[in-house]
Amino acid sequence: MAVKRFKPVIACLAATILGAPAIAQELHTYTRDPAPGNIIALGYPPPIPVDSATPFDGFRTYQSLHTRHQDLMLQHDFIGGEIVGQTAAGRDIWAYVLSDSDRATQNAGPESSALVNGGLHAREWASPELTTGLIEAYAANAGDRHLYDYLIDNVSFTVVPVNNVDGFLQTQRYPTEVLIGQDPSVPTWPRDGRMRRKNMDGVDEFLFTLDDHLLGIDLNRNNAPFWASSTSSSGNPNSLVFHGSSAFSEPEIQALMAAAELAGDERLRWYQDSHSFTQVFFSKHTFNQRRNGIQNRLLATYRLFHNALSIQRHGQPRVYADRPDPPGIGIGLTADYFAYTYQIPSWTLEIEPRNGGVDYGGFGANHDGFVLPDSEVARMREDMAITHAVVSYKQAGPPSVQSLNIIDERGVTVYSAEWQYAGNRQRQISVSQTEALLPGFDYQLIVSFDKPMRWDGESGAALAPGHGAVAFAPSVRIGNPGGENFQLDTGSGRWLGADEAYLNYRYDSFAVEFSVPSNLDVPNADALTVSIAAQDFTEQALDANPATVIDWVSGNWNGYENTTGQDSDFGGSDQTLSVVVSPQRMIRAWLLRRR
Amino acid sequence: MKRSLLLLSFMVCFTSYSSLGLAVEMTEHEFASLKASAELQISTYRAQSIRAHLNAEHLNAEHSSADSARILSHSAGIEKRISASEEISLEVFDRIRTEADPALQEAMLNAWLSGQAEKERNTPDEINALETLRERQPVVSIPHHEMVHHTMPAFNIALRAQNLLQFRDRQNQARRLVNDFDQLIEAFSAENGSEQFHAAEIAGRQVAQTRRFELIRHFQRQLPQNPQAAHALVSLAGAGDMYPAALADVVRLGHLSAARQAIRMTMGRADSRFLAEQALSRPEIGGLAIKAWLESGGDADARLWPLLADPDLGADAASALAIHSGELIERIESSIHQAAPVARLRMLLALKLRNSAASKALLQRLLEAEWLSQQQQMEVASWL
Repeated sequence: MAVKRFKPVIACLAATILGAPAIAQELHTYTRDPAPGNIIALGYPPPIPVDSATPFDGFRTYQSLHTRHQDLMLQHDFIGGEIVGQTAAGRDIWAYVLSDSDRATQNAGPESSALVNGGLHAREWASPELTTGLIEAYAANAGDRHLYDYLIDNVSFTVVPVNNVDGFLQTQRYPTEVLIGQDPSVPTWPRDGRMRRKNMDGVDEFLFTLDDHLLGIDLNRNNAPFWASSTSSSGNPNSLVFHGSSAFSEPEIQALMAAAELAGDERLRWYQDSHSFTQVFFSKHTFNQRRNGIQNRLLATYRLFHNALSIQRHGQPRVYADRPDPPGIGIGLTADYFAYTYQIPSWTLEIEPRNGGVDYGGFGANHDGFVLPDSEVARMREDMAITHAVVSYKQAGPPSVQSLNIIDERGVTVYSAEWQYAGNRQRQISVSQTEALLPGFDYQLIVSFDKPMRWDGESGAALAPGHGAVAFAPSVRIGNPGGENFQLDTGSGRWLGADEAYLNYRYDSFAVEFSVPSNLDVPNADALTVSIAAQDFTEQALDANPATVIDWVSGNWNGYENTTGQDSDFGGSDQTLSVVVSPQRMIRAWLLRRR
Repeated sequence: MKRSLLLLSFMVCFTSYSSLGLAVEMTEHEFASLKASAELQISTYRAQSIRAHLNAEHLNAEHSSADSARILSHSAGIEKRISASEEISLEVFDRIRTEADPALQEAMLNAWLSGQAEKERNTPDEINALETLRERQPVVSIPHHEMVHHTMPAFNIALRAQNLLQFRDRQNQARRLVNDFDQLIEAFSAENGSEQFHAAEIAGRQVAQTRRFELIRHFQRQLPQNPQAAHALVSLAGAGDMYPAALADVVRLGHLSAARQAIRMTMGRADSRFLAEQALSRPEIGGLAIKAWLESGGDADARLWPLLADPDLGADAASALAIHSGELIERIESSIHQAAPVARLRMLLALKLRNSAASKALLQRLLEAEWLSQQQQMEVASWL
């Protein structure tokens, strides 16, 4: 029950004090320890950005981050960079596309794309470190023949590491200093210097020219379709949430739109704007319930994986809760724009801390949640990078069977089926069976999927952190409903990893030995259906019909059939393949043919 | 006993708010008013408490002397003593306990906590009072700074109390460690970031300089076998006179994060050159090493060119050369085609970061180099 209640007499007294003529703004300084004067003691050292392109346990200067991006871009052919616009002060805004150059998936037509924006609000330093960490993780893990190679092959992952370059530079120019006293909403709010949030439109770079310190536009209030439509933004240029003169008026926002085009906006599958703090997703629900459901499941993976990873690596839980906006509600966010324009999962990420500096032993100082301690930066950056890769993996699309091979005890492939992309969102299957399966005989079945299906654990294939509900092995049944059929004991099988014959990625293929029951007696040389059920490591079930390629259409999956062949967002069992099994009476003939 | 009962009932009272899920939503204006009100109210409580104590003391003084001048002089001293006494803070705490408005109560507790944090130490009764706040659920919520239609807790009483208690624990441990050298060594040997280690750090700042030097020697000897000893060395060096030789060992042999910390601590100091040299010979330290070396007076052209091919230091070397090299254009023009492939790209990066007419002109000429891929050509062209 939420109540609004406040002792009136004391409130009036305090309001009288607060309502007195505004005091002039005063310079305040963030420090570790309390001291006399205008000091804001954090309880931990206020981070000072360092000129180091190499990541370390702290914050890097913008120049160093930019050097790092550009260096990685030149060194790796799967990191492409483009200038997508200029800031109000004319500085270049860069976007980086992490993908191979063909813009095509391995076996499903054109790649999907994702867009992650960082550094929109200047003071939220954790954000550019997070976005840079995404690029660095690609560079570090390319060639893994697993998650990152899958993403490089199949997703056009686009990152704007620092959008509000001018503002970010201003906060780094004054890493411990703020002005307090003249915020029109709450005079105790720190403004400019380390706590600048908005862009630098109309603002010089000198903190002590005081008359401009409240100016600038809140870039996360400058977007359609909810621009200037609520009390959550303001028409007052001095306000922290000034929405600007019109939607998309700001060059930084125009650059973000250009980054979406660079990503391939017609192929976008998800969008994130990266902010701090409070450790939460502010996701957008639109009027498309299917989209909302898919987004909920995507963010559940984000939450579950990240929390489990944190426990695994650091012994500490770290839960990001989802607090979705109901349909039709928005305040001019970039996430509003992408949710409603592209009908894709879209959210504002608020990075840790949950409560503020107190989460790290701090004193609970004014606005200290924006000041992540140096000691937390590397952990946050590295954990977030891998979490984002997993989110991207999931939204790249549900898995489907790509091939099935059955090898007899002589090592001869007696059955082979493979789906191949044929254009126009269709696949065609090529099947070859050189010999019927013989009751009483031993075989090996290898089923391959179009993505790595299991996590790369310390000792091989594993379930992904936070996703223990996934059955480790696929389920495979051969036979017809109501007729002769048998279940393979996949518990004795294995996912193919290093030095084994996986298809494209480690753990995209599963091998199991089996025997056709000796008492299986099909009346004729009948083809029996191979029914395969499996989930990828984020709990997405198979596309039941690989013939129609899954895509994102009008805010939901399309071509993602369930077991009964209906379009769905949940998939089902693949029953598109069948193998011929020999009747008992024909076994001898098949064996004679082998000679 | 009486106080313990009061504290217990206070805890029960807080628990009941929590179980009711009580939340008071406020605008930022109301919140600012609330904080001001809480501070006013606490001042009033303090003043009333001090006055009550003063009156009692005056009464005693009047019994003992009829000299009003002496009473006045005596009372000034009493007031000073009383204001700082734990009695006042606990009486204020008890008064907060009786506050019926949960929002105002929470705001006053927040202010009270600030007062406790500023003290050098807390008494056992104050610690008990802090303990009652550990599980307290938030009451007041304010608009989220980004999404004002969502709310977030306004105060963090429980976490602040926990942090303060933890800090006091460390201080208490530290006081014991100061007088027990073996225990202090053991605490410094504990995992970096553990409570034991934190306590050792506090103690390390308090021990005599000779003791600190003994500790430094001890961990310096351990360092070759135990890179974790670097954390103790960095902490001890930060507490005293830096001990450049010990920090140089940390940079050479210590755990990477400690090595970086050592570099940051000494950056800009006159005696940091040797340490910076050590840092440059350990490339995984990264750009900090180059920054430290330049800040210690190092010459970019004399040392950084070979580093362009280094996978860890190359980008930072390019960045530093772009700023500091006196022969950037000439040297790149004459050597780029013979350089290692990685170094070539770092040379291009250095030219980009120099951002001068001459560097752009050279980039323009290099665009046609056969060793550039089509994608790299496009990227370099976008710089021009």
